[in-house]
Amino acid sequence: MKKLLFVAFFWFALAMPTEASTLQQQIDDAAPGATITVEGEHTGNFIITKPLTLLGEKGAVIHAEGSNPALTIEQTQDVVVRALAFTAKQRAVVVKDAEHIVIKDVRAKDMNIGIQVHRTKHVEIEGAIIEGPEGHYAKKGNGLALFESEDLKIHHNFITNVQDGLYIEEIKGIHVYDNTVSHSRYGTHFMHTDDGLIENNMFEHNVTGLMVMMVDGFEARHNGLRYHHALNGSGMLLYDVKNASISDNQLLENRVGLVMQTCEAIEVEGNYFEVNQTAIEATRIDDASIVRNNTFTGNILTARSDQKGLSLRANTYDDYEGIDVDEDGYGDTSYMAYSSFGQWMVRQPAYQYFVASPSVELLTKLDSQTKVEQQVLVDEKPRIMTQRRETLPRNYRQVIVGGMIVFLIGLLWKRSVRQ
Amino acid sequence: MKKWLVVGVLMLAGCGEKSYEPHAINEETDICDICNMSIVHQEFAGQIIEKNGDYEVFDDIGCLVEKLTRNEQRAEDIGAAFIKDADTNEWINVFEATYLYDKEFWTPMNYGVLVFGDAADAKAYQTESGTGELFSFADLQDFKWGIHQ
Repeated sequence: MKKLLFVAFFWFALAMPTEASTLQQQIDDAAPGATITVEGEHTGNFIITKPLTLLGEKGAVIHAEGSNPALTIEQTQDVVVRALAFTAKQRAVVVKDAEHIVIKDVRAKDMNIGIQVHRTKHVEIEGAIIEGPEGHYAKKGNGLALFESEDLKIHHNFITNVQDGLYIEEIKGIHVYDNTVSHSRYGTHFMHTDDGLIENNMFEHNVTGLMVMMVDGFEARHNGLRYHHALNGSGMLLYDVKNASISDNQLLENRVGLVMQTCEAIEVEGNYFEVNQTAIEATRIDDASIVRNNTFTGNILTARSDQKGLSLRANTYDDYEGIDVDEDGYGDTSYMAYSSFGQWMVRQPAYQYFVASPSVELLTKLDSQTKVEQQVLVDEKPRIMTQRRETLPRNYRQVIVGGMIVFLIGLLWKRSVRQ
Repeated sequence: MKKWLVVGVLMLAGCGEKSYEPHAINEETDICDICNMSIVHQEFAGQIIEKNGDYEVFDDIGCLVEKLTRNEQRAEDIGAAFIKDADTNEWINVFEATYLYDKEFWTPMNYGVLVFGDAADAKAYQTESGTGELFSFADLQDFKWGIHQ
């Protein structure tokens, strides 16, 4: 009897699948186009090679085993991964050589790379929450790492504590919108990716919010780039970029708001540069590039450049002291953004530590007093600042509570007067 | 007499060629002098040390060569130029190195050029990866940096 029981138990144990083989077995057994509901926690390195939907129930987690990815999608099409959490030492999700892939509402924490995509067409990554481990960004990977792919939509993701929030290399056709990236090296890093569109994103507390390198055709609009204070930090940096439009962004409290180096045909229009140490720095910029209709408020230095300069036109400057006698909306005298000290800072960045010191203030004042016409950084037609833009969001809760307190005080006062 | 001989030798040694040592990269503060990228992939880093001791760091051999080209500097115009060996991760002399290019080799600027101190290591890497084109530093002067499709 004992022997029989032992044999029965042995066969039962053998027949019991492990967690990992269960999910992989489900994937392998599923018909193409099927939906698999994932419940509970699974450990392994799962691979999808057919059209499939993987839908996580509340609390569904996939843990990567060893250094391989938790989930790999390869050589297939029409795969949807939704509402799953991942943990991994290296990469949480890898997609390669695939088409029509949707990854939605996934979470990854303390991994090296969140989601990595190679050679894939038609990808949508939406609503991912990716949090890297503590430590220096040099020792981490990227939140989303996207390589050699086509037609990507990356939106409503929240990424923090990684090297680059979005690393985008050799992508044809990418739309990046409504993402938030913070506490990383670069919020988003474009490399060799032409004709990208990036809008309505928020980048804050990174070294640099938006880094764009070696790109022909690029548009950035309605993004918020703020609190990039590091020694080499900036809101947005364009290096070797051609034919770009930078419009309606808010660049707030950065060491440098916008840096442009070795660029051609860049239009910087309708942006708000507010409370930056330096609003714009430009070196090796061609004559076709222009900065127009922007608003500069509260910056220590408006612009600095090399000898070639930068075209400024019809911008609004809070430190413009001219007047508008003919009331055409433009000042009657030129605005000079030129500052001797600013030019020196271009050559010696360490001079930034003397910004706002008494001697620098004196030097800047002397610059404005001397009537030597500068050839660079002159706006011949500055706009007159008529009204300041409201930048503080209204807190309706505070308004209601405040109103109620005032009403109560009034009521009490009225009663006390009656008595 | 012996004493003067020693002094003379020391003086001659003092007049000898100045040696330049590579600086350690600081990942927090060092950025590429050409492209502004921070140096997070130290295995591809390079640096130029000027004769007055000033130095600039680079994240990729392509940026280092761009700097030399922009300033029209040759080996004799600078103190030294170092790059990390792709095989040993040690600093090596840029001008004596062997270069291996393939568009599939990843580098921080995606120029696809790896650098080896020992030509035999470069050939071994070429054989192992089954691809790549070998160059000397002189050949790099005509190399078209940029994205290689």
